[in-house]
Amino acid sequence: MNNTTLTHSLRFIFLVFIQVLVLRQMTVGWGDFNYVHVMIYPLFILLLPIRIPDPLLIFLGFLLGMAVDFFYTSYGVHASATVFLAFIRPIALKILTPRGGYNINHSPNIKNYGFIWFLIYSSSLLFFHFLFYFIVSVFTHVYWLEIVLRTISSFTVSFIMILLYVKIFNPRD
Amino acid sequence: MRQLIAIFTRSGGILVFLILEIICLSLVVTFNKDQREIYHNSKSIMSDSMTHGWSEITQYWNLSAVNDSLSGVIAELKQQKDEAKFLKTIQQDSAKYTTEDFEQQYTYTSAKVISNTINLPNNFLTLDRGIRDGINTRMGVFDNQGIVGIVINSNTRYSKVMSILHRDSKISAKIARLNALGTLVWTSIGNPRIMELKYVPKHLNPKVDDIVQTSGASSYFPGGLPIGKIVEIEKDPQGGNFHSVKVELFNDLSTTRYVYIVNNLFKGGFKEIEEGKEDE
Repeated sequence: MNNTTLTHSLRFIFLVFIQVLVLRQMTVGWGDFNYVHVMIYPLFILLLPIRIPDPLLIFLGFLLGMAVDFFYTSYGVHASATVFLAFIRPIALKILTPRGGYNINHSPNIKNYGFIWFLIYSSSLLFFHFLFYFIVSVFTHVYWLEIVLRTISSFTVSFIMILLYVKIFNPRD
Repeated sequence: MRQLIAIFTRSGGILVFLILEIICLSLVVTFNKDQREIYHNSKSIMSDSMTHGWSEITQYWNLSAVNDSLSGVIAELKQQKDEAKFLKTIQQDSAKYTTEDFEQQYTYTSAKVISNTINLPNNFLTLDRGIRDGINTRMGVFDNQGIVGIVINSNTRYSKVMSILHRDSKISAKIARLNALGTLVWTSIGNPRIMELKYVPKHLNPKVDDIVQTSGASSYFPGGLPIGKIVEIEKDPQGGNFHSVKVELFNDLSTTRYVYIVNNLFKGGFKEIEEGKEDE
């Protein structure tokens, strides 16, 4: 168990616990205005090393989603969104390739590729993750307004929280 | 084993994605109440409409059998009506009659027309019921709209019916409104819709559009079965005692398909008394 695996495993546990113990109560406690569902666990997928093989990435996404689902008792809902996120992450990385190409040993974070790059990378992936999540959560085109409102509000708040997290904890490789 | 993993790694994530995503969505639909209901609702709408479409196509294959059984049910229901029954007791107030006051006089058997003519001077029909179905000669035949004829011959499986469109056909009929009896004959050879009601006394006043029914005075048909309506009345030009009344039939005998054969359960006694025999 080398340094990288340990770091990422700890991050997995930490993010999942923050999500289910703290952030879950926040959603419920807002009463009528329950459009904002804060989720920061997708950050785990975003920060995984660049050289991780795609199938492994998707499988880790599945594990992450199922872990969160276990505590939310919504089996499969978060998992379907994280699997989708893990699937499109390589596509986003390919589009956002910096001028010199990626350094295989790096992870996609601010220290390696800059704040603006990370902003674009995380916001685009995160948006699609939330969109997919709320589509599966609502599951019908009849409540399309719910889907749109929830996506926009949850994405906004969660994105801010994720930027705060990254600023505080400053993840390196 | 190694080759199996190699398939996954070479596909570049698509295979793993599809498999895991399908697993996730199956879990969603299985374990979450809202999604499960939406899924089952949409699935059953789709499969129900497909099944419905398929049954619309296949229903034609047993349509004939369904029609035959329905025809039999209708025959049974028709013989429940009061006109097919015989009133045993007389009450002062006709509203007080109960089922014990009635005895079943007529029973009906449903049958299909196999062959039919309407254009000859003497017309006949063939039905798909015979002696083995309890059909004998001198039984009346009618359908849902009007009357059809009288059985004149039957073998084991089939029966021959003298159509009312026959020069020798004489049906005892009445004008319902007046309760006036007459005899229905076919005089307009070549016109299968018009028959003539003869021997309507001149002092009675029939009108156009009056309904003509079976009288019940013959043993072939119960009373009250619809036959047709009056379309023309000629005060008898020869100065005789009767009107000449033209009746247009309700039923079109060229399209007759499902008919009912009347069995008069009292037939034997009726015939005996007509022939002058005494009851023992």
